[in-house]
Amino acid sequence: MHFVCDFTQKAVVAVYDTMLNLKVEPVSHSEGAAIPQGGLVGMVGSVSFAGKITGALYMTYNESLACKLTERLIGAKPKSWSEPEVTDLIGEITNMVSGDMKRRTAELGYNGLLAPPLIMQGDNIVVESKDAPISADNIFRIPELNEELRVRVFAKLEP
Amino acid sequence: MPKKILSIDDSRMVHMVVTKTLKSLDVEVITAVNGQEGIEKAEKEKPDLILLDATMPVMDGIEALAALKANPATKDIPVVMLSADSGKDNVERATQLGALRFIAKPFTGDALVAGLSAYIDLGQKAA
Repeated sequence: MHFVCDFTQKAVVAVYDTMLNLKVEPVSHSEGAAIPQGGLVGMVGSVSFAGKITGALYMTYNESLACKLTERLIGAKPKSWSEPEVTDLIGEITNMVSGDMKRRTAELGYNGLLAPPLIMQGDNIVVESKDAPISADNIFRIPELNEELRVRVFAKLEP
Repeated sequence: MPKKILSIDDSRMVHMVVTKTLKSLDVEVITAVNGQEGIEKAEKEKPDLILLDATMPVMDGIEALAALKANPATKDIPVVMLSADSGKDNVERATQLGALRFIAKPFTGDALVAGLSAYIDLGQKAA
């Protein structure tokens, strides 16, 4: 596994554990051409980064997971994932995962700046990179919530 | 008199976590959602400490920190950075501009309380 992909997995585990007190378990991982075809489905938090490491990270949520996480954090169940608290949480979690991953790559000399998070929603959000040599798709299981989370990352390292 | 902490962050989730973490302490948390609003509230509210995110729309935390430290009305307010963007460059820039500490997100409640109590007496809320 490329170290960027490894750091992404570690970042997801760390952020969910620290901020939400939830254990997440990686259940599948694919890189490069092995990444499943098809678009992302649901609400997607994305953060781009640029510098010695350039790329973007995408975290995909279904409505059930997005609402459960929001309820866990603020103590009240949102009526739907259109509530601003839900999109705010998805954006901030994506921001923290990207930051944690980037902090780990920076220790190896690959630093970069983070852009503010962007939230998208759709049934077939196709994300492809034409020039990122590093790409990975990860599925995580969240046993306590009986939910799954998909995280995709594209990255390019500058010498 | 409770200590006043100004949390400048574009995420309401972070404001909630900070407020929840400090709930049992003798602290009043006021909030701003970007650097520009944060500067305005710092001038008006005169907080005892500012908790400042780095990556925000309108005006980011580094720009806001420079403005706060250049303003005679706010330059002496201690600033602690709380940001996911905790790369070495960002930490060094913030420190050079006058930030006292850099707390990386994700953060634990203990790390937040330790980071703040190094600069102000948080006390306990009266029963």
